[in-house]
Amino acid sequence: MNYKVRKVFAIFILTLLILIASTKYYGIRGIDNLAYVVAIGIDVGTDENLLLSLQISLPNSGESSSSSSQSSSVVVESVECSSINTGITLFNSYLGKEINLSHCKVLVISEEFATQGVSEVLYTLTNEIQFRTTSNIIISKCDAKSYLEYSAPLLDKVSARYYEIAPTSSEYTGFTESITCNEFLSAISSNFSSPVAILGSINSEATQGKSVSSSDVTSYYTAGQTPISPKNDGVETMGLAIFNKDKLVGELNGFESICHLIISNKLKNAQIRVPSPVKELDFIDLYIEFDDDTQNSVYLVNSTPYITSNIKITAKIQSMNNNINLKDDELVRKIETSAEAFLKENIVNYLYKTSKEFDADIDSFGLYASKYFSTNDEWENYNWIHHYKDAYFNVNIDVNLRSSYLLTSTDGGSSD
Amino acid sequence: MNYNKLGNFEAICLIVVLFINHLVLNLPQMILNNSKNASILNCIYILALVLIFVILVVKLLKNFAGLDIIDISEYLGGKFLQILIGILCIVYLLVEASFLTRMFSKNLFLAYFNDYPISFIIFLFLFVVVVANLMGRKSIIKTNTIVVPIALFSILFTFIFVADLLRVERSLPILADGASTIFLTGASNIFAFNGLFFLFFVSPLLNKKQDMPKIAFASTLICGIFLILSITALVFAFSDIYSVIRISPLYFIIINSKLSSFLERPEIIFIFIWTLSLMSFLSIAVMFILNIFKKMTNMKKVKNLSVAVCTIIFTISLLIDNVFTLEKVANAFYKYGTLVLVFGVFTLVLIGANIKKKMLQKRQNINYKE
Repeated sequence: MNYKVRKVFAIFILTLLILIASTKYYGIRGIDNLAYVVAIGIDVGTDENLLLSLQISLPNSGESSSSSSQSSSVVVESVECSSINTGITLFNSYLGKEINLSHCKVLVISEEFATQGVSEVLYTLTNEIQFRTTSNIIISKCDAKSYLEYSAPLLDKVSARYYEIAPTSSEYTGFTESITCNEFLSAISSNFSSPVAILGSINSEATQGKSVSSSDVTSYYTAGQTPISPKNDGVETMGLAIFNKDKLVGELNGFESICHLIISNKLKNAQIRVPSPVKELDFIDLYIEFDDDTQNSVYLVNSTPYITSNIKITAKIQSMNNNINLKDDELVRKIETSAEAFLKENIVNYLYKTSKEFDADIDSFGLYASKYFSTNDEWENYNWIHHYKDAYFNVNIDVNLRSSYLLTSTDGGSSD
Repeated sequence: MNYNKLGNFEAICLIVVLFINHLVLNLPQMILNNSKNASILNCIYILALVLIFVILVVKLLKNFAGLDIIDISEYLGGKFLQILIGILCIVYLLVEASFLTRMFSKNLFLAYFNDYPISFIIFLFLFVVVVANLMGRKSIIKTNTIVVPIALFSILFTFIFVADLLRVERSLPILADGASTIFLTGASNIFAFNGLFFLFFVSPLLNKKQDMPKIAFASTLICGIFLILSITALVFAFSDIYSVIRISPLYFIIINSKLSSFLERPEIIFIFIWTLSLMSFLSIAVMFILNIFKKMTNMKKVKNLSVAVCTIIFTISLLIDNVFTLEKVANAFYKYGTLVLVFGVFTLVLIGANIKKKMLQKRQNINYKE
C-alpha cells in the first residue's frame, strides 16, 4: 500500500471514529430508558414461590432533600413471581422502563426465605451479566420488602452510595462482616467452610432490647436490638447469619461477630468492654486490633478435630477514672489478664456454638484439616462438617496493653 | 522468505500471543477441570515437560538453521510432504483463529453487545485483520510487539489485585483427584503451550539465527510463568473455581478483585487490551497462512488473498450455532489439534529430517572413503 493510500485510509478511519464518538444512535438505551436498581429484596411469597422487591433509584435523586423514613431518592416496588427473571420481566412491563441491575449494591433476603435455601436465587443472579457479585448479601430478620422500605440513609442522599459505604462500618466496629455475594457463593460450594452473611433488621422501639445495665456488653446485641432512638425507624446491620450449605441455621450477635473476625484473621479493629480488675472502674473499654495474625491449627485425634487458635491482640485503654495509673506494671498486667480471660471465654463459647449448635465451620478450619488427606475423595469421605460438631477447641490468647490515649495517669503518678 | 527480519523480543512476542489469547479465554478453566486443586502442581509439571520438549526441538532444529517446518518437510518427503504439512498447518491456524474469534466475540456479545448480531462483532475483528495484512508484515509484527507486553501486564495486574484473597490451604488436598490426574492424564495439559506452533516457523525470520534456543526458552518460560500465576490466583483465591464453570476465569477474577472497589467497571480496560491481543493474533495467523500458501503454490503475491482467508475464518467461526457445542468442539480441537500437530507431527518430521540428514552424511562419508 503506498503512502497516499495509507494517508487517505488513516483520515477515513479517524473521521469515522470522531463521528461515532460525537454522535448518539437514537435507539441507544440510556438513563431515560432504564430503571436502575440499587437493592434487591427476596421474600417468601404468598401464592407464588417468591416476592421480589426492587429498590429503584429515581432520576435526579441526588438533588432530593427529603428526610422521610423512605428517602424520596428511591422507590420500592414488589411483585409476586415464580422466579427472579419472571419478576424482572413483570417490572419491565409495569414500569415502562427496562430494569438494569448493573448498579445494584445489595441483595436482601428474608430470614424465612433463607431457611429454605438461597442457592437458586444466588446462582440465577450470578448468571445475570448486569448483576455484580461484589454486591453485599444481607439476611433480614424482618421481611426484605420492609427492610428496603426502611433503609433510608441518615447521612447520605443517594441510596446506592449508602449501600456501598454502610458495610464498611464493620471495619471499625467488628459488629458484622462485609460479605459479598461471590464470597457467599464460594463458601456454599466449598467443602472446607460454611457461608455467613450480614445480619440486618429494622430497628424500632418494638424490636429494641432491654435497657442497658452496666454489666451488659453493648456488642451482645443482634440486628434490630440496639437501643438507639432514631427520629424515624431505620435499618441496622449487626451480627452475622450462619448457613449450613445454602440454608440459614442461626445467627451471631455483634460480639460473636468480633470473635469470628478474630479467629478468621479479618478483624481490623473493634471496641470491647471487659470486666475491670480494679475497684475504680466496673468495666474497661478497650480498643483492640491484631498484634499478629491468628495462628490456627487442626490436629485429628482418632478422627476428631482438635483445633488450636493462638491469638495475639494489642489493646489501647479507653476508659478512665480517678486514681488510675497506667504506668503501674501490675495494673497493666491485671487488665491484660482480665481481657485475656474475658476474650478466651467468649471465643471458646462462640466456637462451640458454631460447631455444636449450627454444625457450621464459618472460620474455614476445614482448610487446615485438609492437609491430612492426600486426595479429594479421602477428604469427602471423611465428611468434615460431620466431624466438626465433635471438635475440641483450645484458644490461647495474649493481650498486650500498649497504651491509653491522651491520659496515662490520674493519680499524680503516686505509684511510680 | 521475503519477511522483514525479527529481533529476539519480536520473535518471543510472536510465540506468546497465541498463548495469551487462550489464557484470557478458557485455558485456566480447562486445566482446573482436569487437575482441580492440584492444578498448580500440574502446571509446574507440564512446564518441566515442555522445557524438555523445547530442548529436543532446539537440538533437532540446529541442523536446519534458517528453515521452517514447511522447508524441513520438503527436505524430508519432497513436495508431497510439504503440501501435506502445509495443509495441516493452514487448517490448524484457520480453525484456531475461527474458534478463538467466535469464543471471544461470543463473550463480548453476551456481556456487552447483545443488541448486535454476533456476525457484526466477528466482522469488525476480521476487517482489522484484512487491513493489517494489506499494510504489511512489518506493521503486524511491530504492533504485536507492543500489544503482547501490555496484555501480559494486564494478566499480572489481575494477580496483584486478588493477592489479598489468596490462601495456600485452598490447594489442599495436595493430590486432588489422585496422582494419575496430575502426572499421567495431566501430562496432556501441555497443549496449553500451543504458542510453540510458531517456534517451528520463526527460524527463517530471525536476525540472529543462533539465538533460536534463547527465544524458545524465553517464550516457554514466559508462557509457563503466566500460566502458573493465573492458576495460582484462581486456586488460592476461590474455593468454588472447579465446581462453578465460568465463561472466562480471568474476567471473573477482575470483576471480583479489589480493583472493583475503586473502579466502577475495571474489566472494560482488560477487555479492550485482550481485544487488541486477539486482533494481533488473527493478523499473525493470516500472515502465516498466506506465507505457507505462498510456499506451497509458488505464488508471487499473496497479500490480496487475506480477504479470502478472512472470509473462510468468518464462515468457520459461524458454523456452530450452539454455544455449548462450540465450546466442546473448540476445546477438543485446541487440545488434541495441538497435541497431534505441534507435539506429534512436527516432532516426527524433525526427527525424520535429522535421521535423513545423518544417513545422507554417512553415505557421503562412505562414498568419500571408497
